[in-house]
Amino acid sequence: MIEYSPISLRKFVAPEFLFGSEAISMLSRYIKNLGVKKILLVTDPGIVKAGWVSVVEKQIKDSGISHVLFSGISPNPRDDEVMIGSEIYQKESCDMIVAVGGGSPMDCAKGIGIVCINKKHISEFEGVDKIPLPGPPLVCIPTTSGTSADISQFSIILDSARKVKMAIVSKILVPDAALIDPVTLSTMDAKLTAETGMDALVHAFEAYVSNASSPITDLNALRAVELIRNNLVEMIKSGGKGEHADNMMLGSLLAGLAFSNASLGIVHAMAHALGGFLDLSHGECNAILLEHAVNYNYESIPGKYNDLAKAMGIDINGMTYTQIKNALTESIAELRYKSGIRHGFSALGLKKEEIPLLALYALSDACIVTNPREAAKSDIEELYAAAF
Amino acid sequence: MPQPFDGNSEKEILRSKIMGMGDASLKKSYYTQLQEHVINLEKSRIETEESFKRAEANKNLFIALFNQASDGIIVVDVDSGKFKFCNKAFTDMFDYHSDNPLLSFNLVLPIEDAENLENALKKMASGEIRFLNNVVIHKNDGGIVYADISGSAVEIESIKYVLAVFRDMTGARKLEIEKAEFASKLNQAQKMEAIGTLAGGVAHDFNNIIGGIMGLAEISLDETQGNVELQDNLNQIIKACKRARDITTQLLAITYKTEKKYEPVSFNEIIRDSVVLLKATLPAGVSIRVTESAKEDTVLADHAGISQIIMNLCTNSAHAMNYSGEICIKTRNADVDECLMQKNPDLLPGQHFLLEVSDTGCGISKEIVDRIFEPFFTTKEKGKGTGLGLSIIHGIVKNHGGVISVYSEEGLGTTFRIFFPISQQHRKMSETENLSETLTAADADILLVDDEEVLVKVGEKILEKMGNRVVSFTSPLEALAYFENNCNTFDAVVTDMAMPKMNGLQLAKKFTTLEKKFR
Repeated sequence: MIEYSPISLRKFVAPEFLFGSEAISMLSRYIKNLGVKKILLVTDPGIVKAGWVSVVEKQIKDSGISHVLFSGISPNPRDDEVMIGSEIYQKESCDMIVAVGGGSPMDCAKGIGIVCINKKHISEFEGVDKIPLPGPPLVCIPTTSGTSADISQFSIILDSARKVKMAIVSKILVPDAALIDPVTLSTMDAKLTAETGMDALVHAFEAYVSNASSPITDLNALRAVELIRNNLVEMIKSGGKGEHADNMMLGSLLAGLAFSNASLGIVHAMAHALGGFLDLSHGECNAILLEHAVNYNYESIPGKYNDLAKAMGIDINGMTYTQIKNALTESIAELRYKSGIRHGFSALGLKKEEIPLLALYALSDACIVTNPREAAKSDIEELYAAAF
Repeated sequence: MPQPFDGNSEKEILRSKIMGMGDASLKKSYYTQLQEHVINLEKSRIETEESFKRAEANKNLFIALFNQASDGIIVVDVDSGKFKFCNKAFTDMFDYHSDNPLLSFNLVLPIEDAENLENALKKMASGEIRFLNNVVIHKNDGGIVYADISGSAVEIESIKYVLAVFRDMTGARKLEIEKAEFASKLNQAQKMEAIGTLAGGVAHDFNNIIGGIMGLAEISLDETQGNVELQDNLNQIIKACKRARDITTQLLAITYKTEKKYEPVSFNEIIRDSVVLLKATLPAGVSIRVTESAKEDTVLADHAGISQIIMNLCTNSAHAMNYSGEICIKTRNADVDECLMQKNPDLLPGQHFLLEVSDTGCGISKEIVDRIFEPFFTTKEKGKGTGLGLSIIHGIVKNHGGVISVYSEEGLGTTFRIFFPISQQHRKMSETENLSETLTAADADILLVDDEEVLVKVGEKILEKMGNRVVSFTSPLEALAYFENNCNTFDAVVTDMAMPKMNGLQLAKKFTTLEKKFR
């Protein structure tokens, strides 16, 4: 395995973001500063129901700008939804996009932006650096503490024909601004809080051990792990409000900054395959897979995993690598269990015979490239089986 | 099927790109799009500039065409009556010369005409009418414009206007009136000529017939020998014949084909002589004022005819003034040019003597003024006028190559104007001796030719009664044939002038070639 010195050449890209309470109320100022005429507001039905859309609409109204609402988005945003949103954007002569919600609306909004400027089908941008021109101004308002799509260079869109989650990766996808307001977390239910929280933890883990990591991403990743480990369960208990929620939002942001620049690994490659194939919750898949991936990767980069073990609150003094690895996977499993995710993939409808195909999909996912350990198809099949 | 990455190198490239080391890996930047936008803006600026220039050129073209059009064109808001556009031809038509644009009809027209035009344009706006021809428009300065107007509704920048085109027909209209006048005069002249010819022809034949009746009556008178009653009857016949001959003689004057000998005379002198006579005969209430301005007054004329003209005109005038007032006689020279010729088709170019006789009498009404030169047309009571006076004057003037015209205002008076061509021939300084002497021939052999059988008979009798021997013919050709064989026999030849196949003059020439005696 190649070890990277701190002076290896690295890039770190992040959008302008506002973090803190009342960040959402700064939206009208952003709209005014951008000097736009009409906004496409992208969200999903859950966010509309939660009331955050009306909060955002008031901000848009205050700025004196008209808007059109597009909320027809599934939990795993689909290619046809992107194309419909793009049509609405062009038909309504919009010149800006505001996305509010979790990963789904934000990934979809990123897709809409590049489709309507480049006039191509969303599937044409699958892969890394495949986008010729940036989309229109995009401001993201996350309402979950997990996906970090509001600051990332990723957009994951379901190819509904192939049943595959396409990873579209480009610095061009990084939004113009993110308004990260922990108050928005108060409307998440416990399940969503758990899934998104565990997703953020996976972001931090995979970014830290990624072969594209850097000292800057490491800093964010480790701090993210500490914040998530210390606050997730308490946040679920407190109903998404207060100090724990604030910390979880920060943890998610730091994890996002880390993975957006260092990318991810085998967990995401496998979760993407599952999500596309069975339309499962992304966070849930990640949560189930993480401990098995750590177990699989540990030997390839034990030093970094030991740092993560410390961040998870494990005193590794005097412990052997195997002891540390076991303690680490146990701590992850414990956090998952305490969060309420207590089942394997069989409970989610996965059939054993589907595993080889899923392994193939995982091997073709961009995230597999930065996994610290070179994985064979059989390795992945074993990991799916272990999490069954 | 999904395709796993092909080997480490592909993976390494992808990893490098994910880290932001790929060629195309840039943070979101609108610079490229802005650049493109700036280029497009510049393009559109140039296009706008060019289209502005084109629009300007089009506008200038439009203005040029608009103002060069010979018809007056206006675009009017019918509700307010205000002009949106009005071209140069229109302002010229109404003599509007100002730096300020012409804004409405009110500025150039009397209120009534402005209102009428606005009403007409409103009808054109509603499509009720499309054309309005022969519109008479009075200008504020008293002038008149005859115009044909066509108009239709147009919409400019969502406002409804009327586009009206004014075609100035003033020139054409004047020409039309002149043409009509000309045609009327021509018609009158033709009519006069026809009547003259007719009257002359009838008079000629009547003259012959009356000559025969009178001659025979006179011969018969000599043979009545004491039959008083018969003598009385014959004298009545002769008296009636003389009256009839007077009338036919007058009628003959109307015809234009009399072959009178004209000699250079002084028109002014004849006027002076005639006025002396007139003053003696007209009542004291009528005065005659003569203004002689014509320096050139020599005309080739029949002295008696001219005198008759003056006498007749003045007598008419005195009658028209009810024998109380002034008759003005003016003379001057007039150079007949094309303009004058157009108005009087019978005039010939050159210097003319112009005689004007004016009175302040009752005038002639428009209804009858065209008929006054017709023979037997009279307004006088039955028996008080023959209706031949003016037609005789007309005939005399016509025979002299002159033109007579009349201008009359009912209740104000009448002026006759007569043009006579000036003659360049010199007048004879003294009147030649009257050559007419009574020929008394007796015991002579005379050849008599006349196509009228009655006249031949009368002639025969008169000549024979004087003691002559007469051989007579009614055909000039037969007479000539006879003369060829017997030319030595005759001492004299008496021949009629107007004869079919050969006239008297031609016949006389033949005789002179055949017999020296007659040269």
